Amino acid sequence: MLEMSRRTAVGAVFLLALGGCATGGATQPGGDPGTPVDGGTLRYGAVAAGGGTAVTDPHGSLFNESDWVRMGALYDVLTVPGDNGAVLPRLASSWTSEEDATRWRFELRTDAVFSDGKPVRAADVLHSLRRIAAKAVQNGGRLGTVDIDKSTADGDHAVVLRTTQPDADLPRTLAGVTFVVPDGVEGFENPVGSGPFTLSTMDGQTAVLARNDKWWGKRPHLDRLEIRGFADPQALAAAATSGEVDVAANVNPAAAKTAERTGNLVVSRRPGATTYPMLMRLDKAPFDRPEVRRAVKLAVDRQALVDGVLLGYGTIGGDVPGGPDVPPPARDIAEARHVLSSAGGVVLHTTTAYPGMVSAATLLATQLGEAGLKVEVRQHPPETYWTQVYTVEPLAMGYYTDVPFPVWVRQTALSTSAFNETGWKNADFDAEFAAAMAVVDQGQREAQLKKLRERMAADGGWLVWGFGDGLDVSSPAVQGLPTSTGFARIFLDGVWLRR
Amino acid sequence: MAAALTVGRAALTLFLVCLLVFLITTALPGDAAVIAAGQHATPERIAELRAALGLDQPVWTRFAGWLAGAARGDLGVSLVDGRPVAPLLWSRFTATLFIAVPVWVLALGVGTPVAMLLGWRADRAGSALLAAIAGLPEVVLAGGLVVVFATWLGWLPAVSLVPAGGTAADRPEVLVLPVLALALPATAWIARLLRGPVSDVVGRPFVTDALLRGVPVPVVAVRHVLPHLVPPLAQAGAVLAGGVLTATTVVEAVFAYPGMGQLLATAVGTRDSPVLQGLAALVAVVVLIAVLAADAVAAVLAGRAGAR
Repeated sequence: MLEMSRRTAVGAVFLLALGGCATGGATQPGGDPGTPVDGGTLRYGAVAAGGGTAVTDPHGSLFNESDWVRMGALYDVLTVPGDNGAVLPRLASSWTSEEDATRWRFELRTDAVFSDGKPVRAADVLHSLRRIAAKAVQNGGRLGTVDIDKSTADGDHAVVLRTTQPDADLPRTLAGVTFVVPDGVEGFENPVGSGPFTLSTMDGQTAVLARNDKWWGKRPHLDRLEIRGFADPQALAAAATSGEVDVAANVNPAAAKTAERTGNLVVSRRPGATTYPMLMRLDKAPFDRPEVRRAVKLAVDRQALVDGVLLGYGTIGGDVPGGPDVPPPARDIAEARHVLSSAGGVVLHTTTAYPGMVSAATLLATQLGEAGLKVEVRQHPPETYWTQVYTVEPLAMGYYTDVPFPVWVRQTALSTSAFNETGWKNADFDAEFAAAMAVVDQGQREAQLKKLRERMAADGGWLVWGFGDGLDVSSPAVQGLPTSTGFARIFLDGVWLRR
Repeated sequence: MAAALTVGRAALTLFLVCLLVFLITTALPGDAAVIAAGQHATPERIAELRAALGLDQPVWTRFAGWLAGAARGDLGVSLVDGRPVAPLLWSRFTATLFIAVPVWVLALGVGTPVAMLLGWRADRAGSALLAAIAGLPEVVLAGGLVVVFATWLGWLPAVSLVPAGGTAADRPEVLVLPVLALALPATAWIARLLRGPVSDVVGRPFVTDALLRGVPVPVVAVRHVLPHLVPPLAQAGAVLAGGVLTATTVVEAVFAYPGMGQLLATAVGTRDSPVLQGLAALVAVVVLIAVLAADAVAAVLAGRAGAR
């Protein structure tokens, strides 16, 4: 309670400070960025627990966004996410899989060198992947389906990865997270990487990196990159507003809206970064009745949720993760009321873990109330919510980041999933999903997955009302910030500063 | 003998503080494993993490282990990032001292003369103003200062960022607003506390005598009144030392200053008990030293008075 009131007070103070800014002169953001120029230091601010207790091991638990960005600058990865679900080569120049997608061959670049001058070889990649696999508990199974014991190096410039099950989407699962360190290295106080930047200095709050002129890729425009951790999101936004940092990464919609209104800062949006679904359990009343689930999906006003919770920074969703390509059913209050007025009252559980989870729950309760379903919202602290409430109660709010759809399915939507957040257990579905994941042709696989997603949207317990954008606030001089989804956000080698 | 008793009592207090903080941390819902595991964590993963972090051990075993380490000067490693606690504490502590020491000096140095002025004449309006300032929450004050000095006037930075690899000494202007935000209420508090003793001393015969003999008021204040204020001043200074160290939490959050307060807030949030324990022990040691120093000052003065 005390903590909450402190936060609220800090927030109020921040808004006051910004109100003052609005009276200042506003410059026109955006416009023609012109041709990229070299030079300059990018001061990049991101949220970090404790104002930046920096983790040095790239393969364990990366608690802070500021750590992710530093790893993306110091180390090469096999593949990176591109636009619209595409996967782009990085350290791996190309990849192929055998017919059933259980054996993958990644060809490595031959011109990559570590900052100590040694070439990057397959043995280094394999050592790094083994470390990631060994720390699966800490990093939440970052390697997905990879069977590391059966994976091998083929010469110096190719690795052969085996998977425990067909996984035609493996390059995307691995995109952005396979940080490569030299073979045998276990300590990272003085990091040796082959990425676009090298570490100059680091203290508790700030890491300073310099351009690595030996990097194989397109020469970064920036001379230096300063990555600073902020414990308080409000202070991070205030630092951007007052020009103490050039970029405030991953701010909340309110901070982005304020920055946009004052006109001194630019907001860049990465589509589909966060989702706050409402989860109805298929094995608990009243949501065990398909007509109740359907009525709930008919009752909600998705655009009002996107406007109210995400402040317009997002798109409406069609009740399944993986993108807005599955359209939602048309709103029909009369039809919904017909079913819901007999469903009795329900409790919608939510948590203060993310600000949007409470506001979404409150707005959903109001909307469902208009359709005849009496909903009481109950809040829980984040420390107990994920273990004691979520996946247990019949109706609860969830939180998704933009993990690839197949990864999400394996986590929570198969009969064999360690936990199943809505109780979606369906042997036919499991089989069809496995079959789809063995289809190597991307177009064909996506078509099969879309059919499965349409079925989940219609019959499932997920109310995915919208997809929120990832929001970065920056000074108008900053150009070339990442705009793709997922871990694309941590790779800053294309950024430049307009003079 | 008396010295041994004092040290013994201080050590016992320190032990009890550490024990209490440990028990309270244990009683909080969730632990470091649950929080590190995050949302999509299976019970198995939480159990594995708990074992890896040593959290599956009984409470008393863990406390005894921590105590044994602390006695040797080893404060353990953070449960969040595995870094040793002692250097982390030290860097955050020194960062916080850049704010805490000026606040402490200002509060005593300005609060005492203010108390003399107000206590001498029993100024009611001044006292009411003091009460109002002392009661202002630091976060409101900090916000107000930012709006005026950073946003409107543009004289000082709105957030207190320290240059990479450096300290606040490389950029002293970042300290002004955080120090002011804490020093204003602290000064008012000291002044209010000493106002009563000042009125008290001023009413005594030796002060009236001196004034009648024609000794100038400032000289009377320094020679005759001030010495009698030293014991309450020392006590207040000791309490203030602990108070300032903990009050920086709020101000550090507003100004994004990477000190001990932010470390504390995060350690509570992530249930990082080695860091919490280390912080509690450090603050307890500072307060105990301050209290012992205040007692020593009082004892020396009492000795002098007796000898006279």
